[in-house]
Amino acid sequence: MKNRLKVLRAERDWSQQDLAERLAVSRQSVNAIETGRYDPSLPLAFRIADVFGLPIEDIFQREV
Amino acid sequence: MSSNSRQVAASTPRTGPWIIGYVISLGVAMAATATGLITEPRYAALFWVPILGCTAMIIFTSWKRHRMLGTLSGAVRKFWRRIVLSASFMFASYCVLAYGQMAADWGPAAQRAAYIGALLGFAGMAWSIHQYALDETDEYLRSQSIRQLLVASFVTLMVVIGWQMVASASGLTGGSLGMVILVWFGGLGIGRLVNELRP
Repeated sequence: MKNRLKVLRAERDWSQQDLAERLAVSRQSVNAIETGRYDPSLPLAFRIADVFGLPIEDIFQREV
Repeated sequence: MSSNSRQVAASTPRTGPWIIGYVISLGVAMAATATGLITEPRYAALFWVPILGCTAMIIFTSWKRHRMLGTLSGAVRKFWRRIVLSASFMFASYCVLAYGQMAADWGPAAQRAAYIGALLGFAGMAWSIHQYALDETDEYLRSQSIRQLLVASFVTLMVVIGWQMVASASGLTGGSLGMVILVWFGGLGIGRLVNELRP
């Protein structure tokens, strides 16, 4: 699964730690999701969508 | 990763070298026991020094790393409290046991009590690690800790079965069941290395 987490975070000038605090997860989790090493669960994906104020499909896309 | 995050991650102490040191010390101790190099309990204590030293450094660097990376969550705090308490209890029981074995006037009842104490300490450590995997609310860290436990189980089974096969084939008689505990901790260390190399 691809995601636009890094781009969206950069647009808001947030560090990984900033995003991690907003999501109430560790910085390692944010790093793992951003680099595609870990696919978040559905509840966490919804939390990410809420934090960025975007629909899930605008953040996560299927790998073609 | 931002440059600030990279700097923090780069400046945090690494547990890897201590884990490798632990695994090597354990291998040397197991080989020395199997080949009959160590017979006197007082010399066996020499092999415990690097194992315990590396263990202490793994605990210290892990704790410091958690603090520096800001990942001292409630689950991690509980884990450290439990693991330090049970490890201290196990270590104290082992010291009592080692002293009891060297002191001729100690009866078997006292030795049995020390064995039970060490077993309870180990049970406490194993329980702390399993409980952390349940308490951790961060799903990525939980998945990492579960992978670490699976690697530890795999390593322990492989070493125990392999040891048994080698012992049967070559007639080696050394090694005690107590070593399984150390192998399991070594397996946890290898699991940690696997997590660091392939996060």
